[in-house]
Amino acid sequence: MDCKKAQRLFDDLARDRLAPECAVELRQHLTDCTDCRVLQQRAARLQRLLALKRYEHPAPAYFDGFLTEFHRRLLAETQPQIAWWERALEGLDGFLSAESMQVWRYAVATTLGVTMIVGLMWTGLGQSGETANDASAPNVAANAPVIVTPQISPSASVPTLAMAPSQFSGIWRVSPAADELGLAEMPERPPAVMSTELATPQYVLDRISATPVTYDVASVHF
Amino acid sequence: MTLPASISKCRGAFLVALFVGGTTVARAASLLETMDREVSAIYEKSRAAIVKVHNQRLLQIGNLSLVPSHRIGTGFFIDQQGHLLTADTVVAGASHCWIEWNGQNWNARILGRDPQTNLALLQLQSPTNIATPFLPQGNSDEVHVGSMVIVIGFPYDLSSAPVVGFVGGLDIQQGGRVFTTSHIRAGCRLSPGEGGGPLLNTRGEVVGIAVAAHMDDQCYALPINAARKVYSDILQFGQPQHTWVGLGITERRSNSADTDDSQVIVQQIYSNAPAAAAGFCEGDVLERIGTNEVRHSADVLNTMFFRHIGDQLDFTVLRDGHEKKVSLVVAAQPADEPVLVHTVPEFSPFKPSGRPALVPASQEQ
Repeated sequence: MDCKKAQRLFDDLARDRLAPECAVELRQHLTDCTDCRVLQQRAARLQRLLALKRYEHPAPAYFDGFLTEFHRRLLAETQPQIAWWERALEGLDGFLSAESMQVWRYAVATTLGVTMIVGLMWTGLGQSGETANDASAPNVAANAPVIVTPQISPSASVPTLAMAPSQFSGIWRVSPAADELGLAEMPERPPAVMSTELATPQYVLDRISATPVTYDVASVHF
Repeated sequence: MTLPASISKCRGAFLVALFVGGTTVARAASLLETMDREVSAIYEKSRAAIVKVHNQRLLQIGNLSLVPSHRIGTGFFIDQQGHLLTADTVVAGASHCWIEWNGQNWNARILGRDPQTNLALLQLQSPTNIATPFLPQGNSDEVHVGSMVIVIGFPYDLSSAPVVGFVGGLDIQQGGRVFTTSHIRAGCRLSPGEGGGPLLNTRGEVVGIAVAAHMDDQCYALPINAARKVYSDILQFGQPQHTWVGLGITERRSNSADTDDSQVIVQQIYSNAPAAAAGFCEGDVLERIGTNEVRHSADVLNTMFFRHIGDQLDFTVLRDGHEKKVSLVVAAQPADEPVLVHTVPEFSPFKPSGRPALVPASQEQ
């Protein structure tokens, strides 16, 4: 018996449906052929596992009203789905397309236009107001009894707080009162670098890349 | 019971051997303990004067400030006035420089930099004139192969740590590249962040500054004597004073393996240089500079490194078998590339005699 035929008969052998002579011949082949024996053992193991499978049963009263439920779900699936906003747009379109509502169409457009113009004007006024405040800032600083008035220049973002006192002269204004009090001699604050966004640190150690050893002395210029 | 005389002799020898072996082991253990104590003591004594140096580079685009780089290295105080040394590459391109010392951040001002020796001099910015602790300086000429050295630095973001090693050599060149003066090669495995750290001898004195790592387990340090010359120049003149004579030399070694005889030959002469005016000729053999014997290129470079601009130098050369004296006044290194008198330079003269090509640690990683 060849392997191909033997492998076709595994199932019949397991179900005891083979003729005695054929079964004897197949068993003899399985004794001699390792590959077929391994395959037959796997098939037998698979059969045992399949035999262990439990069949599922529906829950009690599952089939009560089955036909009604089937039709309801079928109808729900076949009906086209319309979103709420589509329905709202359809309603609005119908409202505006009505003959009596032609006038309202122009009224709404006019209202929107006026609102936009007012909004733009208001935004522009707000910005000009801020500029006016900035312009008045030096006067306020000069008259107010403030000891140290920081005037943050536009470029003084990160490095300003970390500059040396001598470099503060153009940025920090110290009132006479502060000079008298000696507050201008205050110890310099540590740079505010800890609260500043820093780049990822690069830890420095230069490296002289190894080159092939040479006993030639290079030319030297001095 | 009495033992035969031969066995008694053996027993005596055995006891003597046991005694000697035991004392040797005890002595070795004692030496290790002593070394352990000494290294710890040097570290504890020195750590107060060693700081972490930060360099922040800012890029201003209109009102926008970008921080493209933040480099961190090691430095150390050299006097009570807050002067400190670090590697030039730690502070190169800095918009803002500060140090971490005594648990606080302090502004630091860069007084001067020398890319050729990879050294920078900084000063602590303190309004109250704090007297800073500082490391005593030793004599780097006393360092020899086999000397034990300790490098202290800040590896990565960790606290300071000592690295112990032994001096492996005093190199004037690495491969085909030449240092400005001999550098100490030490068997210390350094980590990024330890660049600029002090190299201490066993007495706790600074004998060098770690300027670069080499291979995996070695580092190069600029000798403190050379560093002292550079930072003295910076303090006095505002920048390092590198001298220039205008000679290209090469070394001719003896073919004999038994002798160390070699000669330094003048190979090139630059126009508008002191050497050309003094009458040097190609093929001259340099015998002495002043009273210093010249046998190797390192002798020339080490002698010239410590000279100042305006110094008069007397060269003794061998020309056509006769000794001849040539005198000149040392000039400043020209900013532009000098021109050779007779031959076209094959390469930039500053490349071989300048600092060897360094690869930033960031690129290595």
